[in-house]
Amino acid sequence: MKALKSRLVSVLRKETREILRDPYTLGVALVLPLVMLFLFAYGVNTDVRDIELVVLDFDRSPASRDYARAFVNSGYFRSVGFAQDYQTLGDLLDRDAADVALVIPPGFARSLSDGEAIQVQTILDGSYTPFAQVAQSYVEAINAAYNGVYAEDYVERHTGQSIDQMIALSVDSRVLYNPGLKSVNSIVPGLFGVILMAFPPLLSALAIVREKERGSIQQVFVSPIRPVELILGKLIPYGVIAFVEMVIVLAGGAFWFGVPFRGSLILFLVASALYVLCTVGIGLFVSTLTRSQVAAMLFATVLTIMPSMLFSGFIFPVHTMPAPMQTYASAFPARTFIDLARGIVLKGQGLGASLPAMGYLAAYAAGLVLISALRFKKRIG
Amino acid sequence: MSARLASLVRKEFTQTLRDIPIVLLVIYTFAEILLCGWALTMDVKHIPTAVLDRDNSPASRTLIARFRQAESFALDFYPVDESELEALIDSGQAALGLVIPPGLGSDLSGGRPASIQVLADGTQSNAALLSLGYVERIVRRYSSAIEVARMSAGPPVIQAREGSLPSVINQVRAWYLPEMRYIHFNAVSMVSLAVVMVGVLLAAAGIVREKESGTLEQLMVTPIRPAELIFAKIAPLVLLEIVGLLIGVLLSFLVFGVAPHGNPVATLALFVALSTLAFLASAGIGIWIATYALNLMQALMLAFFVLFPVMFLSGTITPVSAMPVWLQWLAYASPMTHYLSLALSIFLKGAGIPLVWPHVLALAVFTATILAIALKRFRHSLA
Repeated sequence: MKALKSRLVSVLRKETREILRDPYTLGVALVLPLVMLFLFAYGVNTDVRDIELVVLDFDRSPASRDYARAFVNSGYFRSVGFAQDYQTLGDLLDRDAADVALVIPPGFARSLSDGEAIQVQTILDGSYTPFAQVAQSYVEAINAAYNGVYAEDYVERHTGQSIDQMIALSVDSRVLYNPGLKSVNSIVPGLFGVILMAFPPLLSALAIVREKERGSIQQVFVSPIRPVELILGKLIPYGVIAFVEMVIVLAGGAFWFGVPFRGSLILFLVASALYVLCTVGIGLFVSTLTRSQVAAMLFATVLTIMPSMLFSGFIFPVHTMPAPMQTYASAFPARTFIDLARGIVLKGQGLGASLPAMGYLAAYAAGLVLISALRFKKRIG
Repeated sequence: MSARLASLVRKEFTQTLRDIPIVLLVIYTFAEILLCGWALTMDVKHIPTAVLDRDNSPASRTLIARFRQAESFALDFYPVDESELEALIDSGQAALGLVIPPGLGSDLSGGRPASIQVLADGTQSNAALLSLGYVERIVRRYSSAIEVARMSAGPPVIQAREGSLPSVINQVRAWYLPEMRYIHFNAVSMVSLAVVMVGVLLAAAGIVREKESGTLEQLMVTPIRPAELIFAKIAPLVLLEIVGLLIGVLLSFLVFGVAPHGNPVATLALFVALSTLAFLASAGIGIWIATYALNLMQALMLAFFVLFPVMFLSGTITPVSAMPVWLQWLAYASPMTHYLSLALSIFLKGAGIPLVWPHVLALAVFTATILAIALKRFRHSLA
């Protein structure tokens, strides 16, 4: 037991020294999480402004100008001018000089004052779909607001009754856990899951494969060091780096962005430790699959970074995905951990509610280490 | 091409293409990324919803049926009281709760104002915001039908219009992609991302591997010049990139029906050409990184340090115009932003060079600059 300890300690010491001597790796591992925190916190925003609007007004009446002005006054659209015909309008959209075109037909003012419904047309550039969908929802909202005001006048004029009394059913909504719907509050707990998945698996896989590629692993095998000691010695330092990264994001989120922390810090740290085990476990597993560093790098990217960013509910909600992809998403621990992190951080979820997810993470880590250890032994023989 | 360069290029081709796992992984990267394109949308569908109907009248059942018909909601839970509803949201099983208060039916038929309560889980702020919008829309539609019915029973001025109020109907049409399905946008943007990612990573890895194994010094004592070496390193990667790109495009056509706009051959040729330009820019970044790194791990860390912001700022995840101004400036300094914009215009709108030349120019200038810097650093780091 004592021998094991001293051998493990010497592997650990060697690995730690190697990491500390490498300023790029350590520097990037510690700074990149903060860069990502700032990029995501400031940048993930679907609140699009300054949508470029061109108007083709066939009516040229005070009412039609009023309607077009409602778009600019909303603050979401910026007028880039008036088109005289469909030709110029199409040209502007083709050249990306305008995002949205509004076409008001002749007779707009007359139909409205006669109390009829009149159809206008909005043309969006659909090629940039996320943007187009947001723009569409703004157009609908502004149109509804315009109709509301117009109808209010009309009803009051003709019936003397206020339209407020006529609303039959309204919605009274309450948002739990994040009342201001601040996106940074969802981003920060999600970012733990992404950052812990981005580096530890990659670095630990490379640390092992590098020895394989150089052939120095043979030297380790003829030494008294056992495989398990080598693996632990390789994984523990990267686990520690991962933990430090997480604390940095936690502190940055809390102090710079004022993200609340409602749950138990200890529970959160335990859950994170389990997750870190999963992530370095993936790194270990990848290292048993390949002998080349470049292949390990691509493997680790495919198995970790992509799923953790895209299939974890970090940005894209999982319940929206097609059923097979939901299963795919559940196959990676990032999804479970991000749910758990949001639960603990934002909902103040306790041990009882967290147990199933934590059990899953523990089983996942154990399974990975077991499979990798079996594969690792075979390699030596 | 001199004999020296030709033999070097031949060696690099053999070495790169013989490494079957790498070739397969590059192709897989294009394919996996495409898979992402299929699964990821920002529209919110199948929101797990809990419904507590405390009225249980024909009116409340009609309203619930409206929600059931909408694709946005999956009415999975029917709790019996408020505490069960809150427990469902607390545990994360339901993301949305609808509470219909007792007396809704009689309020509506009696002409009294009524309201329903909605509880949303704010931990996923974006999805919550969108789902509240959907709820609002469904309730508004339901309500306006009742309002119109009430008005028809009202004074004759309005009755004359058959219950309709004067209104503007805004018919929204999307050009280029009339159905506004995400897959078209995603397929193109993800394939473009793959080009940039593979470019940075493989170019950096190629140079660092020679450094790490010490063969770079051997190459430098031969008459081969640094520019020739870089050319020979990049050439096989370009082939790999084009093959991967074509496979990606072919898959997105066969599986998702995403076809190039306009004349397919001309559009595709232009797309491949500009992708190769973007690939060269990425390879330039990779080589530049490799001149600083001593081993692959360092190169990789530096590559991710550059790649994450470049990918994120490109507009694939969030529109550039929605970013704060200082981030927009950063975004326009990145080649990926121009490349994505080009890729979408060319592939989905069928635009030609005359329409998109500013982005082509920006991308070309960036490529020339980064390759020059990389070459200078490369010479310097060898000296």
